[in-house]
Amino acid sequence: MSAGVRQLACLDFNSCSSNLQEIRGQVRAAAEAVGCQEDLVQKLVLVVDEAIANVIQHGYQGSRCGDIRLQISQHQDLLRFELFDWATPVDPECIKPRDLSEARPGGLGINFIDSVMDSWEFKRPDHGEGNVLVMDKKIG
Amino acid sequence: MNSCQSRQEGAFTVIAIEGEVDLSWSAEIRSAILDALGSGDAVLVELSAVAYIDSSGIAALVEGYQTAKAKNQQFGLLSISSAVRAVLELARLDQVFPIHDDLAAAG
Repeated sequence: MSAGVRQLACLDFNSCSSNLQEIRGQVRAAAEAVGCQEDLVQKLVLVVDEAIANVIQHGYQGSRCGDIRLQISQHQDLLRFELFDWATPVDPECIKPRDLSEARPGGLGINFIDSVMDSWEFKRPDHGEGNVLVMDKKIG
Repeated sequence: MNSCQSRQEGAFTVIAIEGEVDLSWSAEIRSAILDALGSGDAVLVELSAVAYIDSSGIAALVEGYQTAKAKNQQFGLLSISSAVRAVLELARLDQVFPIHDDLAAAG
């Protein structure tokens, strides 16, 4: 990791939804460690939870056997969340926030990510398999 | 501790949710809401003890609302926590659901 970058968490877990509560606790701890206010902490916890839930539901189709890695790091005044999976690569063009003027169940996760984070992007991981969702939030 | 308990309060079935609502158990809440509506009851979902709710929990509430609306049944939220309110606002659903501070307000 380069100078000026502080790793806050590196969590490996499987795609079982019962892991979500523990991961939320870790995200909370990381956000508090860099001085985020409670309002922002809650939003970051929600957004990361939603991203992981999407991996569980859509990437691994509900299977509990998928691997997931969450890395949280501070880059000066930026908090970065990198969510790795080894599922089928997504087509980023197909993942966009939806129109919230219509009240219907489902599809809110990406909207939450889009409205809370300053930037987010699906990339191909260096190892070539799966996806990495990189989400950045300015905290300075 | 996560829980979903139903009780009768006059004309209403009140479904009281407690804990952190996420993908691991939101289906249980969805079932409880739809079962209550399927019985023809007016339904209120009490959320004062919900410390966290994600989009799967919100989806269960939305589905309940739409199901009730289609059947002309009363459906609302009761005593929502600040955590629930924050997520409803983020989803722009805070003006969609009837939200009551207490049972008396629900009529």
